[in-house]
Amino acid sequence: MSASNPSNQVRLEVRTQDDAAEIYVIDAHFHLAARGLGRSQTFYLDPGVYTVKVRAGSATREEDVILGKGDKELLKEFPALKFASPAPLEDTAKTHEYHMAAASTESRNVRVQAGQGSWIFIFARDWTAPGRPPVSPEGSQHPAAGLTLTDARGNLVANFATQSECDLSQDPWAACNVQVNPGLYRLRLELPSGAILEQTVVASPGGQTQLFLLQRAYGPEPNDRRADLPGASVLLARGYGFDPNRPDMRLVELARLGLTNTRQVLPDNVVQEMLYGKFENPMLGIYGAHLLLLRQKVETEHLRTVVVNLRGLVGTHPDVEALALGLGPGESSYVFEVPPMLRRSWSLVLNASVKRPGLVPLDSLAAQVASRLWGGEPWLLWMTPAPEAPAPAVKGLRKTKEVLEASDLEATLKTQLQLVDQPKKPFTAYGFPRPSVEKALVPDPAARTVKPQLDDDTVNRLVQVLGVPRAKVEDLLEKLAEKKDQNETQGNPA
Amino acid sequence: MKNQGEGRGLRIGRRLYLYMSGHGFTPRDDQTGLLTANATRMRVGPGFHILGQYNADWFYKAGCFDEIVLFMDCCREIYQVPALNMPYRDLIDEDAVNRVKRFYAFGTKWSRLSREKKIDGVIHGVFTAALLKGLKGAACEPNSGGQITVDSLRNFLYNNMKNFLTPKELTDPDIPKEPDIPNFGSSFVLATVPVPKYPVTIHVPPDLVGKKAEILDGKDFNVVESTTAAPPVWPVSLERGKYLAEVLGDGLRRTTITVSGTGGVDVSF
Repeated sequence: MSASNPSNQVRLEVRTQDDAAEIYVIDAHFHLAARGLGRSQTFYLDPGVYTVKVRAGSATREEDVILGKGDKELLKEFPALKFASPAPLEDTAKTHEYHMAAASTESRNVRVQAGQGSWIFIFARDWTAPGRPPVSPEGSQHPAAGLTLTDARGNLVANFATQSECDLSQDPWAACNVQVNPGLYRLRLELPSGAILEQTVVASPGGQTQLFLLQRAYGPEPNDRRADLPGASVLLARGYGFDPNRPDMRLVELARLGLTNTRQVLPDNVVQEMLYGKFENPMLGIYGAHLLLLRQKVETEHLRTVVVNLRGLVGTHPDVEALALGLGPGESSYVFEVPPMLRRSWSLVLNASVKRPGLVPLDSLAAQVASRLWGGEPWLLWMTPAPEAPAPAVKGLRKTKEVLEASDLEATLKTQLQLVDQPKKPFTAYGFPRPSVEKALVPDPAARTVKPQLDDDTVNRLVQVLGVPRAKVEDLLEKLAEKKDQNETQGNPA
Repeated sequence: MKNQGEGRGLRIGRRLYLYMSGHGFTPRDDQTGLLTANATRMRVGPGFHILGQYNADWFYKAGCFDEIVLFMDCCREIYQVPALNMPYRDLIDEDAVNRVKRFYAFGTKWSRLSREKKIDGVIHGVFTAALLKGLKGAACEPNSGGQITVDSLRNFLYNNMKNFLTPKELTDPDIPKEPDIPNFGSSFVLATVPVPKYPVTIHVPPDLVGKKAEILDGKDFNVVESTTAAPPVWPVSLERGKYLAEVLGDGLRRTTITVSGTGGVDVSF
């Protein structure tokens, strides 16, 4: 790979159809020779046989090129790659024309009136590869089964299983456009087990938040399939209406997939557009800012500019305020009563809570669900376990979910506090004092120091390990201290 | 305890291999579990699954081995489980981070299904089939004397899982074409094998039969095979890599040859 052009090298230009396409050039010994991003990249390479690989989302395409001795340049063009997306976008893999048409039509029809000034559009569907039998042999299941929208306090706004327009005759789809007041909402999915999976949905003033969901298995049985919340596609439109042909929606989807796979897929020209406010899609700005943070060196002024642009587009939005916290804990006065939409936003909030314990109030929904997060990138989902069957009335056998959660967190916290108390090098692989091993294997009551005076570094570590904000860590410490006091009063070990 | 008593610390051996295959699930993004044979829909909790990365990490953190190798050819669908099977208390060797090397490879991305099919007459996971080919020599680093390193195996698996799929399977977005192999940043040699060669059959068009033909290394264009009179079918054996076949007829005719290591290759101009 070379940025210069020594006389014996050949200029290879690779063109793709996507701003967020990843381009790899692999040499004849299968080593990566060069890489780049975007619609066009130029490489200067030694003569040889190479494979050019282009990736968009999960789709890849490879072609060989020969750069001969004496050649000056070669142009290689790739068509648009059909990557898989829950949004029925043109030129993507998992879609049908009737899905595109239904999403476009239904996103413009208000089916549930629950406020004004904003819209939340849900489009849940299933997709079967050509030639494969339907996943559910008993017939099509309602793709929005168990799916509801509530306000931030949990009050029902819409039941998508009963209030959607749907068609179950082919690969099924269900669509519902809910007119709402701008604000924070919760998308709620009841799983076959009875457990509840939830995520935050933000309705911005004058905009439509569009959620597209395929189906996934939440258990081994065919009827365990429900809407795929972890794989959801979320788009934001000014005004309302979904257009499957808009190229910026395709770019937003590729940015989401990049974030999901921790791949920095936005080239510099797209970043520049984000910086100079030339984008109108807020989700691209939010994903893009997080992708900026993936870079080894983050230009804080760039991030600040994107945050300012985003505030101008969507007003107060928890994910935008979380990004502001990435600039410093004092960069936003927002209080996170409800968690943000993205996991990466939540990580920024947790970090900032070390310096600002009031950022996530202890009695808030955000603090309550912090220990119940579920799934991975990019969405922040939380799960409420299924209600348990009535337990036998024997003391010590009945454990509610709250007790289980608290005990899990407490156990982890105790372990961490023991680590704080232990010497820096308790033992090494090649020799350590026997007492250290015994200490590791046999709990040492003397090591259990409850509620020590912890510095910010230690609190930061506890916040990271437990995955809960500082207010919750301090609450747990207080409860541990109370228990210790009670046990000492009663003469029991802590 | 015995090792520790003999002054060897917790170290047990040089390398630990963990291989898991079967129906699996992902309870959270940093763990993949293999369900045990007696697991059912209602019985998936502790005692009915084994967490691959948890177990591998336990040995890693304890510094019991110099190298930890984990292969998991399991589905990674997201299942809800009542609790995770994490029974051990950590033994922390603080030198482990610097000393112990890891290589973890999963047959599919997080939250995706794995895939198995009949390959060479035997039902295999696609990932396992590619892995076996790689470890038997196909993944050796070109020009390395037959070394299979963590990096060369990773490259091989990323580039060749798809070669075990049919064209129809390749167009199905639900079928994984690539594994998931986190890069822990340190490479090591997994094995050294005799450098394998693979049969390549070059079909020469009638108008070029009898002409001078050469096969050039795709890296430096050195001639690796040649014939003064190309036969209609020209069989050669080549190491893994990319090559250029050239025949001088009325003009120069050429085509690329990719020897991926997954089997014999047929080439036409």
